[in-house]
Amino acid sequence: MKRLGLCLAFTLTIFTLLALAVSISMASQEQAKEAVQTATKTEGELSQKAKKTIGPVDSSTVIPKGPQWLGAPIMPDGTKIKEEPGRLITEYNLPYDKVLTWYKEALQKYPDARYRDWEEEMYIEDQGVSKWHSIAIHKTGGPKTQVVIKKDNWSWIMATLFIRFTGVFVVLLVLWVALNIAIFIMRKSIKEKKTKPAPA
Amino acid sequence: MSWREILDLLIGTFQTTGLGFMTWKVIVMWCIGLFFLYLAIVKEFEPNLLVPIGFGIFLVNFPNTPLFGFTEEGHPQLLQFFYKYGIIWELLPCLIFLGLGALTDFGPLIANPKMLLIGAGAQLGVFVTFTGMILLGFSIKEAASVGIIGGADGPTTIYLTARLAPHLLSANTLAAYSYMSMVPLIQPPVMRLLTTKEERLIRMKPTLRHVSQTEKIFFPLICGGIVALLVPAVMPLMGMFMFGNLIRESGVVPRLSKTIGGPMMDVVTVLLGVSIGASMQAEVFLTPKPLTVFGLGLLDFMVCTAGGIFTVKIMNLFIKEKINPIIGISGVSAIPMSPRVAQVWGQKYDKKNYLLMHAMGACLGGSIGSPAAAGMLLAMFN
Repeated sequence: MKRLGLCLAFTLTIFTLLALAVSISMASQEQAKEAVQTATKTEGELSQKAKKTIGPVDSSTVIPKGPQWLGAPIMPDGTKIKEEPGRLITEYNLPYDKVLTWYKEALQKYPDARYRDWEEEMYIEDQGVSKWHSIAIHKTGGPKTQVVIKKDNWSWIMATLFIRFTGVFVVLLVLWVALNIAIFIMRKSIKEKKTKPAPA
Repeated sequence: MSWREILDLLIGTFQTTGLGFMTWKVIVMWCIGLFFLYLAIVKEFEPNLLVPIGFGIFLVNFPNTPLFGFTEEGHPQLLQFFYKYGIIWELLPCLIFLGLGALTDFGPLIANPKMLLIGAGAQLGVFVTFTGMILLGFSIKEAASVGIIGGADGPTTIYLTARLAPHLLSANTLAAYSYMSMVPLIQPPVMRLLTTKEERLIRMKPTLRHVSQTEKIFFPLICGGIVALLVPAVMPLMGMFMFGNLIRESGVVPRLSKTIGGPMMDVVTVLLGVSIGASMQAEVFLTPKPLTVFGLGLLDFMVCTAGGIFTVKIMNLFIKEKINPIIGISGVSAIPMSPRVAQVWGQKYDKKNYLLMHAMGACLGGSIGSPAAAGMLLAMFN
């Protein structure tokens, strides 16, 4: 095994030395090579690499230009009702549908926005790396609509942590109870079968 | 033929080789690949997986190799083909679970079902890391995919990451399998830190009750049914796991059981390993995010180990027949490494203490707990 380790180390050293030598000698031609490399890459290869390196994006980089709050789009022509470090409330003289359409269009290119259609509001949650947590568009039914934008907050993170960890326990607890019941029934039926006298 | 033509030909030939495209990143990736081969071949850490992963890393990091890109016609090249259909389409992790099901004897868990709770407690690290990742500026989806590493369940990690954060797939998978292989190094210090000598001396029954074949046949049906009802998002994994187990325990299809647990599992393992290794190209892997993942994965694994130990301690407050907290380390689903470590350490303190079968039960609980945790995380985004 020691010999094998030595062999691996030797191979590694040879490759490293070879690579270093070639890298140094080729440094001057780097630009030309880069051009050749790009030319030989197919479109598929490039798009695949792009796909692999792309991670989540901040919404501020993909929403249309205009006013923003922590990277969340703000529909123009609204009245600011309240602004706190953790949330911004704006009111619009427009019905709910029109405000929602505007926000849907604004967030069209943001892949991490999740829509939840609740009874009293449309709740748009950020699942990406943006600094805002949610945009709630209230369904007033009238000509005015209120929009509440909330900042990322720890209460959500801690709550989801607690609920989901408890959820794992609940799943396995249910399984435990079900197993106990099933085992009890099976063992009893097996015992009964064993004790049952054979017919004469 | 003129000199210029000859020179042009030589330059053209040279440019088709990889020599002109060497970078320091490529060399670092060779070192990583060779390190994994060293771990697998010399140290014998998870060789079935680390040999294909290590070689995949080594192979794909040679410039100009037509292995992980696309042809001029847009068709995937060999390893890209395995990666696309096996990993991105989530085929290989599910097939691995099918094979695992055919190889797993749930007897120790059925004989002592309370061990399921240790498997649940050991998922603590998954959720703690999830929080830590968000604190470090990762997105919720990335945090969820990294958190699952602590469950020490490779296929589940691949399954969840492919869905939530495919750009972290190679880092997450490598971290999961590396830490799984390093169980004997990572878990004992955590166990020693969190337990007293008296606790480590708690003696447990050397054997478990006999589990009938009927119980074993019903187990995949009950477990599969409950998981399908409560966390349906992970049924591609759990369904295959339980299906494989039913094939094994039914006893009527021994040929299928043998094939699924043997040759099929071997083929799938090779394809999975080499695809994961191949996805670790220098320009993707040598960036801050994958390296952070690798660092936090270790912490995750340690917290999961601690979670299992704490669960045993809490359980001991309520039960008559106390459980040795060393068993808690087996709550992560690193089968059979973790139960083996529990057995070895248990016997270091008391030579007549046989913890193996109890630890196997906890570990099997973990193998259900970690897909359940994955399901809980997936539920956030469905």
